[in-house]
Amino acid sequence: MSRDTIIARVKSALQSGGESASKRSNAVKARLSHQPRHPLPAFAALEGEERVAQFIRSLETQGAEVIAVPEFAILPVAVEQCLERVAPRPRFVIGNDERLITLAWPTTPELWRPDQMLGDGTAALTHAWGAVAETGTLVMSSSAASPASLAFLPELHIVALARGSIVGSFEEAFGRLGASSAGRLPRAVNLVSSPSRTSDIGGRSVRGAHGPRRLAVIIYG
Amino acid sequence: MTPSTQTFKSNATAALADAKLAKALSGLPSGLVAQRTAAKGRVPEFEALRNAARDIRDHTLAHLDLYLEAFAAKAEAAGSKVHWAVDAAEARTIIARLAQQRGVRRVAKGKSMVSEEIALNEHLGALGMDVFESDLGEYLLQIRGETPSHIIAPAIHLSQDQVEADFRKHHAQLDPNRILGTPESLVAEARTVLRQRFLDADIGITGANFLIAETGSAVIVTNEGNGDLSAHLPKTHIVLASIDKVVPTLVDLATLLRVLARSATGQDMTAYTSLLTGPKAASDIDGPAECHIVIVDNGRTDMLKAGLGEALRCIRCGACLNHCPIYNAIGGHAYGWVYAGPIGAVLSPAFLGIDAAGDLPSASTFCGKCEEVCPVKIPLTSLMRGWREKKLASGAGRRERALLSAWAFFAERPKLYHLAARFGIATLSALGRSRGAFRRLPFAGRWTATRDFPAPQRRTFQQLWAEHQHRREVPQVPKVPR
Repeated sequence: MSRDTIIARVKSALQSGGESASKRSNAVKARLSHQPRHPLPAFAALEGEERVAQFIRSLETQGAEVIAVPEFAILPVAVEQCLERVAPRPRFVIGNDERLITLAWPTTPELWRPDQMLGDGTAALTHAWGAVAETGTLVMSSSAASPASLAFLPELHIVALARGSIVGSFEEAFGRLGASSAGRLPRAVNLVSSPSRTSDIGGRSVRGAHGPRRLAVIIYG
Repeated sequence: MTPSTQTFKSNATAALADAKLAKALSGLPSGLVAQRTAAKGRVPEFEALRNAARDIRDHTLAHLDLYLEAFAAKAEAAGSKVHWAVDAAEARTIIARLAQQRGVRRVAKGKSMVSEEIALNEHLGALGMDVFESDLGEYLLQIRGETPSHIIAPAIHLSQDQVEADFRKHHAQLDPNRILGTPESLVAEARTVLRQRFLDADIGITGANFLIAETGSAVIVTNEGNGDLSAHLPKTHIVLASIDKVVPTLVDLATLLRVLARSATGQDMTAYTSLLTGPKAASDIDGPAECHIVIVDNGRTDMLKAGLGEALRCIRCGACLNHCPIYNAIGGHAYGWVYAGPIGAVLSPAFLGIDAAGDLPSASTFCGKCEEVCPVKIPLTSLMRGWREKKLASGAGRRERALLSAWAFFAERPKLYHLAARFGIATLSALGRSRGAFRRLPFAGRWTATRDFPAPQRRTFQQLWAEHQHRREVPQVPKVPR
């Protein structure tokens, strides 16, 4: 079987290293069970307001709009602002997310079904699992309430993010993800750092290659 | 793809004479160089991160068998099916079988260098499947019938005008009078045309930047989001990845991500980094029902055995291409196979054999810039030098050896060497003084065909040094004429 062939070839190629089989196996077990510590840049180790400021600065630099609201209940007001900025006003969909559905919407959002085509002229709102301050990165975790496709199909992607869910570094985010999912990650964890972009034509960065042209993040709390 | 590494010398000569290519290359790699420098400047810890990234790759490669087994176990536990392919033919067969068993007609492809290695599109196309490349650069190449010339910017050799002409030709269903004069309008057109093809695809095939042993996840790094649409929308997702892509843990991934985009495009992070673990759960409303991961060796265990393991540290950022004076002059296609630039000069002889690709490692000024910018510190110049030695040992390069023997004859006789150098330099200096450079030189026509030879200053280094020692002061450096 090719699996055995490949593993045997790797073993034979590495034999010259001289490490005993049990020592090698223990090294790998230790690495997989005790997370290594690598150097951490200072901007990944910020706390409190400094951390939030780093997150917003990084995200805005990459071309996303950021809006802050004091509490979750007034999310619809900020969403309305995002939708009004686009002309003509886009069709607005959300996933089957109880927290979002039960908000007081001025106009009821459509519930997205996967057989529904979303393209230009559409906006979707999803809830971020969290965010990483060091690079201004949103962490989207797929579920029935938060389908991964919604971060890629619409022209405008609006993300609701709890201020308290912003962590400093990728290590923290991955650690919490692992802990909250009992070691088995959700099907898709999408780290989103900017609107979709490409530099493949003429070498200049252009937004909206395949994914959203615009990314708006509403930080609440 | 069919390699043309054998004809590297004539490929390079033709590339140097290609004015369109020179224009396309004039700003792009150097723009990426400036962006990388700026990104690195924002991270005072960058050097420490490079060291850590190198150590992660070395540790993984030293325990590769165990991490591959750990990855496969986790991926299967998450519901993915893992397949193993010893070589390109087996990888093609596995993917074709998976597609045929599911009656697949249309395939959405995310960017994958391994798929170029195994010539996957040709194979599936010959079986009657309609394969479309979704990365915009790769799509351009597909409609032109070309191959990538850069790892992360595959269509870097094309100008905007060429793209417009191709779109008018290939999107003939659209209004011929539409305006396509800007990158924005071209990107918008590609977005609309390709969106429908994503929705129609029966199967999505992507590469993977990393495979995480701790979780069984495949990690895809893109800016366009095409990899995600290929992975999330079709009913079946196939990940194609080589054995060297495995990384122990998510914490290791964090460090590698910190150096990857910064080295590649100068972004702190690309727009999208996706960790994909297994098929959709019962409660999910989107995502593929099946996820297959095809792990390919295709010559990599031979590289490990031959002591070329350091080259397998590569995380495919393309920085060594952008910083290479040779790549900047000839572009990627001249290298004749999937991987161009310094990393291509190291990988191609390993994949294709020294007889077929032995000229590539000679295409280096050995300036060492590639090593200086490599995020995982691959000793690219030593590896290229190793190939040169192998090529010489194999009996090739008789002409080079004759020239080296002639040089050695003089080098071993200092007096004669100085005399010859003094004579040669004085002559060239006298002849070239008026222009400061030669457009043509006898016996060096191939060299001067593509560049000027600067006229030497009047005296040799030894002469200047002797005078300096005599006067005990720094000699006045003669002004270089323009």
